[in-house]
Amino acid sequence: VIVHLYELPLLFALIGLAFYTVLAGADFGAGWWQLTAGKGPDAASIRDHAHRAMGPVWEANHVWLIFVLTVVWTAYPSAFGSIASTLSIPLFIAAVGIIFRGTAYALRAGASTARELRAIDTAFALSSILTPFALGTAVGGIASRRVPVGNAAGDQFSSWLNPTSLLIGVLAVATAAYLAAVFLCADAARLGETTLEQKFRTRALAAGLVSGAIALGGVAVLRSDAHPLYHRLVEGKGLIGLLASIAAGSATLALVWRKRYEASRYTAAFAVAAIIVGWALAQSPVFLEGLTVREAAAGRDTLVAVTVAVLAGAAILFPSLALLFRLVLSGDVGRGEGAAGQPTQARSLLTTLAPGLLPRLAIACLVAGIGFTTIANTAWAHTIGVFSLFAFIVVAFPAALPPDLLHTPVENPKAEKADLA
Amino acid sequence: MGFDQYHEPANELPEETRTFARLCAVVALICGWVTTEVGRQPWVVYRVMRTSEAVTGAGGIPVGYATLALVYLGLVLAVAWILGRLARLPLDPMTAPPTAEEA
Repeated sequence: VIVHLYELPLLFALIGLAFYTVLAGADFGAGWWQLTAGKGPDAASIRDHAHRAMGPVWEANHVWLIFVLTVVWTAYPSAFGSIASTLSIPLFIAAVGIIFRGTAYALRAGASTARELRAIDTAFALSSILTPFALGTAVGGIASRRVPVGNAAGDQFSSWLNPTSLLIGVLAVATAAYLAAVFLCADAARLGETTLEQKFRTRALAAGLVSGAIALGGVAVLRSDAHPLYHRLVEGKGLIGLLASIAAGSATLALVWRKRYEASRYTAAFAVAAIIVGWALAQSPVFLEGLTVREAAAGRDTLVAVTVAVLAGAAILFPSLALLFRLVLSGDVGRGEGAAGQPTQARSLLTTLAPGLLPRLAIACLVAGIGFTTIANTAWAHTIGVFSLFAFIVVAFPAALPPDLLHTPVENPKAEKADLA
Repeated sequence: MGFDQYHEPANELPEETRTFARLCAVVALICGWVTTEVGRQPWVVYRVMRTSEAVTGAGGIPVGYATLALVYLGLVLAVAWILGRLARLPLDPMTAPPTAEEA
């Protein structure tokens, strides 16, 4: 598979969109379960569990949305302008929903009575449903080719109020609820909360079946409303994503049924991400009606700059993100100190044997990466360049960390405090 | 951890003067921003693109901005409410800065 330079930023944006759909989706879905919890002490425990699980990464997942927007407006300005102007209403609704969500979450800390708490949770939950729905309708407008090129050239209402948009909006809410139920079930199992685990297991199974039914039933909607997309989705390259999603979704149901919750987190995330892969494959190379990805792309210099900037940014972001996930998934966040910061055997061996090797390798990868992507002009060189830059990310991070940072534990925090004072 | 950030000297200036100075800082900040934005007109990117070329053709923008203004008004009230309530709560001894004796 040869990836052209003009496709690379879109690839990054789609990866970002997949992360957003999975991670922010799970956050949105937690709001759904808060809303449908009902009344009484059981419902309160569900709402608290959903709230607690979101704590470590509170609204941080919106960085993915910001990433997608930034990459698309830099690398595909005409497409971004067309999308933002024609779909201004759903995008505006999504933005207001995000504002309300963040506010409600912050206000929860100040609620003192059960009635206040319930009002805040309701505002939170409603905006948690509104936001993914609105974003889904916007995606539906693009997928069904209702966004033509030009400043507000499409219809202000039918571009997002149409069968495909409504389908994808509902699917976005359903998959969010499904992801959240799977993740919250795993969290509850880890915390040893058997009652909550049982409740979220039932919810995960039900939401999984409903999401799957909407996704498969939706294919029929696409057939009548977005035929080009339907055609490529069931007969073209998009079928890969569709089948992968069905397989991963079924695996998730089986894993949740057999109470293998940790594994089910990954299959659930994969099932949702595969839908985006399927959409991208089915739609390529068309970006908008009458505009291919190649035509939409910005100038070569801009594309090179975006690619290099994203890869350099990834070098900073991904190790931190990996650490955050490891801490969250192992349940260390919020548990206090002690478990984190143990250097692995392999790492210390490598750093002892080869001082200076890693930095040099890193610099080599960086130079090769930048060289192949900027100076060279052919597709194969760009591919090598991208892999070099990825290799640079992998190598440079352990090389750049001062070894003392991980090896010397702080033995007496109080002594250090006294020194500073 | 150090908590030796800058604090205004207590009792050196009257309370009203300090409040006035804080407000002046905010006004200066906003005025500088207004100057750059208004001073650049009619360009949105100076000598590259006019604001009239850049503006969205979407209808209903006044409705959208009125909605946004109301949302932010609500936010201001909500934030004032939460800050007022949190300010009345006693400090958690675990997160409070150390007193003079401890430091």
